[in-house]
Formats: sequence, C-alpha cells, structure tokens
Amino acid sequence: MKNSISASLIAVIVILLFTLSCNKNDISIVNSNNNANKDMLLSYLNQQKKIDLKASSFIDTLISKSNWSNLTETSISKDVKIIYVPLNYSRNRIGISFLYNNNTQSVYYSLITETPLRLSSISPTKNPILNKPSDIIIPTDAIRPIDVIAGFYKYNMNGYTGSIKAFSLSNSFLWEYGYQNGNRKYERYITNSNIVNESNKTSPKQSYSVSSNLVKSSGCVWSYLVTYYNDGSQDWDLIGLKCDDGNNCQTTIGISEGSDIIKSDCGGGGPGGGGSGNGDFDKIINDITDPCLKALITNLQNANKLTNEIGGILQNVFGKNEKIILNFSQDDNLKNKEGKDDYGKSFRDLNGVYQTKLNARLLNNDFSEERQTLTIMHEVLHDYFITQLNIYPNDHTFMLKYIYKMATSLEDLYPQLRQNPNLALALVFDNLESSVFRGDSKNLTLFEQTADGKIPYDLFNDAVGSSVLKNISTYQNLAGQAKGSKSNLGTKPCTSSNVNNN
Amino acid sequence: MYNKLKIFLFFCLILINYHSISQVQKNDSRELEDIRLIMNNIFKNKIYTRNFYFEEVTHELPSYFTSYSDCFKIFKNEFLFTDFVENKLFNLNKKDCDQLNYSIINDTAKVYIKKDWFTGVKVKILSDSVTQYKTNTYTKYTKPIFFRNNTRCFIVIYHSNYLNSFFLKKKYNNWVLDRPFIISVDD
Repeated sequence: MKNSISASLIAVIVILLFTLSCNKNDISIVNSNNNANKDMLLSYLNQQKKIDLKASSFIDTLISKSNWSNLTETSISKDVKIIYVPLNYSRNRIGISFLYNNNTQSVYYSLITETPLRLSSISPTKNPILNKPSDIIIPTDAIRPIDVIAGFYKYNMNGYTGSIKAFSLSNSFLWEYGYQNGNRKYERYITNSNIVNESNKTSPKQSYSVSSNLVKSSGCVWSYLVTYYNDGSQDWDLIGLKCDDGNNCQTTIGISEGSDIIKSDCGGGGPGGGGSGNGDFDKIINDITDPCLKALITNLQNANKLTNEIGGILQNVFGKNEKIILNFSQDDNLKNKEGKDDYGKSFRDLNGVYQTKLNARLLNNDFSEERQTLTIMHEVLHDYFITQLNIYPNDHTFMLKYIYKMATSLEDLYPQLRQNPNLALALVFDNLESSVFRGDSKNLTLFEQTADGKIPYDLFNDAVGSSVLKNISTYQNLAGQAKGSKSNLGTKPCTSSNVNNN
Repeated sequence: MYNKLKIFLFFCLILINYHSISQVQKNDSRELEDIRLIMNNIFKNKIYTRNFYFEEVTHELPSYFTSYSDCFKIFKNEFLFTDFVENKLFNLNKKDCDQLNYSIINDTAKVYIKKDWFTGVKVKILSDSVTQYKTNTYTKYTKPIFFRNNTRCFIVIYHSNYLNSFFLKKKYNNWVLDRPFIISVDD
C-alpha cells in the first residue's frame, strides 16, 4: 500500500515537473522569438535611420514608443508575413507594420499604420477574424490591427468597416483607404499643385471632376488632401501652401500624440513647374519619327510633375538619372511573340537602355490622342516597373494600383475630359483590358492566371466593380465615345500639317 | 614478359578511361545539383525573376529545358542580339563570352526537368504532347549555362507576353540574382 502510494506520488511529481519544464520551454521559446524579432526589427530601424537622415529623429521616437511586448505577427502567404509592433500613442490604434520575406529572412518594407478604435464594425453576416459566416458581432477591440492590415495585403477585407491610414517612417502621410463591409468606399492621397483648385463642395457629391475656377500662381505650391469616393466624387482639402522658399519643402501630414499634424516635408521634390527643367532631356530620347506621336510623348515629358504623376515618374526616374536612359522609338510593324500586331512594347535592352517601341501606324489608325497617350503612359509604367524589384505578382496586375493616377494624369493633359464624368477612368480601364487573362479563368486560381503576365479576370472585374463605373459594359460604352481615332469625344490624331501649324 | 606488359597497359587504359568517365559524371552531377538548386530557389522566390511563385499554385513545367536555339531566335529578331561580347555592364570578359557562346551553340542535348528536384513546391511536369503543340500555354525555362568556374550562370524565363533573362551568381554555396540582362514585356 505504502509502496503504491509512493509510486503514485513519484509519478505525479514527475509528470508535474515535466509539464512545468515544458511550459518554461514554451515561454522561453516565445520570449526568445519575440526577442529575436525585436533585435531584428531594431536593426532594420537603425539601418533606416542611416538611409534617411531626416527620419532619424522620428524613428528614435517610434522606437521609444514601441510596445515590444505586444508584438504580433501573421502570415500573408508562405513567403511573406507581417510583424506588427503597437505604438503607445494616445489615439487610435497605431503601430509599425513590417513586411518580412521568409525566404530572404529580412524586412523589405515598413510603414506606420493606423486603424480606428471606434467606428469599426463587422457585418453580422461575416466574421473577419475567423473568416466564416457568423451572426455574432465581434467587439471592436477584438479586431486586431494586424488582421486588418493582413487583409489589405491579401486583397480581401473580409467584411471590414473602417479605415486604414499609412505614414512613412519619416512621418509623412502615404495613403488612407476607407471600407464598408469589406468594400472600398474611398481613397485619400496628398496632391500638390501650383494652381489653386476650388472644389465643388456642394453636397451631395455628384461630380467626379473638380470645378474649374483656376488661378495660376507661379512659385507657390498648394498641397491638398484629396479624397476619391467610389461614387466618383472628390474632396479637395487645402492643407498648406509653400511659396518660393527654395528649400524644396512640401506640406504633408504627420502623426503626433493627439491627432494628425500638418507639417513640412523638405527635400521631397519641391515645386517644379512645367517640364523637367533640368537640362536632362538627353536621358529621355524621343526617336519617334511620326510627328503626331512624337508630340504626345513630348507633352508627357513636359507635363507638370506636380499635377501629372505619370509625367512625374517619366521625368524623375528617367529624366534625372544619368545612369538610366529611356529611348522611345517607332516600329510600325511591331508584333508580339505570337506574331500579332502590337501597339507598344517595353524592354531593357542588351546595353541596359530602357526602350519603348510604339506602333505609330496602328496607334494613329485606331486611337484618339487621349487613348494613344494612355498607351504611352502604360509603356512608361512598364519601363518604371523594370527598374523596380517589388512588382507583385506581375507588371499588369500591379498596374491596377495606378488606374487613378493614370486617369488624373490624362485629365491633366486633356482638361476637356473632365466635362464628361468618369471618361478618363473609362479610357484607363479600356487600356488595361487587353492585359486581362483571356483563358478559361473558371478552372484556374487567381495566381495561376498571373503566370503569363496578365491580370486575373476576377481582380480586374473587382477593380471595375469597386470604381464609380461599376461594371465592364459601362466603361466600355463610355470609353467607346473617346477611344477611337474618329470618336465623338476624343481628339483626332493630328496630321503633319496640323503639327506644323501648332 | 611481353604479354604481362600488354595486360598491364590494358588495365592502365581501362583505369584511365574509368577515371575520365567518372570525372565527367561527377561534373555532370555537380552541374545537375546546381541546376536543381537554382530551380528550387527560383520557385521559392529566393531568386528574384520578376515572376512571383505562389505556394498555392501547382506550377506547370515542360518535361525538359527549352533549347537556346529557340530562345535566341527571339533574342535575334526582337533585340538584335547575336552573341555575347565583352561588357562591363554585365561583367563579362572574353573568356566568359567564349564559354557562353560555345554553350549556346552546343546546347543540343535535352536536360529533363524532374519533379523530385523541388522540395516544398507543387510542380506538374507537362507531357510532350502539350509542350509540342501548345507552346504558348506554359512558361519556358532554359537550362542554366554555367561559366567562370561554375560561379556564374545565365538563364532565360519567358512566356508569350514577357521575357526575362538574368545572370546569377553563387554566393556562400547558394545561387542569387547577379544582374538582369534583357527584360521585356509585350502588350
């Protein structure tokens, strides 16, 4: 009896010791993982301080406010995970989101993200955390910021209602997106302009375009926080003005303890007026012989970088960098690998020169000036993407992120487009339509459809559906009015005599 | 005595031949090992190729690497490329170019792609009937050409709408991107 009790006691003690040691190991593993993450992230942040000296002081502030003990991580895919470190600010939930590549075992991107504490809710028909239909409404504080941000990068917001706001590590506003029941309601960016815009603020918001009471003023830059709503309307809120300060300072928004602050971001590009203006035209070579097409490229090359983002990419990436040359040339027999006529092609050649070949014969025959300009912008973006290393999952799908930039840049060159709401956007979708996967999309996953460099059909459909145009036939009907070389609303391609007269 | 000498010489010849053959096989197996490593790294996104390989996807591959003669027809017609020449931009000296150009001309033997090369990657090897008659439905890979004592290689990946060619380099016994060569996107 005594022996059996002793044996039982010994067995219990052994089991307890085993369990406790396992728990200690678990805790120590978790602590060790968090410490390892913290060390790695601190190393990354210290590196960023050296890369961006202006941001050094603010990054120190971020480090001091980081709540390392509540660090969390979640997977976006097998290759990428987000590591989120909350920041101790007395306001909405703010943290630093780090994008970590499991293969290279390093952080490749980071940003400060903010999600609201209040106002978030979940549709009673969806449970975003568990990703299952549910009638249970999850309390707002159970919506982890990291899950919202992961949903953003997975292109699936899972019924989220609320916003995501992003700032750079130098405390400059990047973007904001608003959602309702998982659908995008608005996007928000800062836009700089050297002309005054009077926005049409009468409600309800009806117009896509901004009213044209424009006052030109040289030497000054107006900065606006622009909200693009999915009903096509916009709000332009003036946030600052900088005139002739010679310091390349622009107004931006940053985070502070209480609320966002308006601040200057110096050295970020500055007022540029029209054209590259820096004598580096030889870094962009326009070898097009057709005078009409040549003029369209020159227009983009001379566009105001502040109001024309695609023009800005062309000028900043290729116009200023002596090591990067972009050459536009003409090939009226341009074909793709399948031997079919092609409007344009971009490549980095065997001398490291970025080339864009354009089929002037086909472009002048088929398209209005506006639609031709979109082809040029499309190719410029390809050239730009070739200089970058983080295009995901392919060029054309990544171009979906530029649809509004392309539309506003086109309106910048052709202001008359603004008289027809959403026309520029319709033309952009028309331009991207030829890059959509055409095969049997039903039997292939989204990812499988990207294998040949095309946009998965569902992603394109979603992009159209979440825009003011709502569906493909709507934009096709609208684009048709301005797309063709003899369309009602499009500008007819010039003839040689017209170019000489201009 | 004479017979013993003949037998001795005969065995020496056998040994020399055996040694040569086994050295070739050793080189071949080392090359195959590098090819296996490169393909795995590409499909695990450890080598940036402007394609992103998703874990969820079963990637379709032809049963053997595409020949350089097919690929270089595109290079010649579209990019006016004929052969490699000394070039600082791509870090190519004369010996590198000689090796590359020789390998391209003599790329006649099929090298089969094997499913068991890939660990942690879903791969489907397409049958010849697909690769012969539906040439625009799958991504093509050329066999890596090694040069500079197997520390660098060249590879081309292309589909109907794009072409990406790269130099890779060996770093700490692993293959990484060195620099891109010709990159092209069709619209």
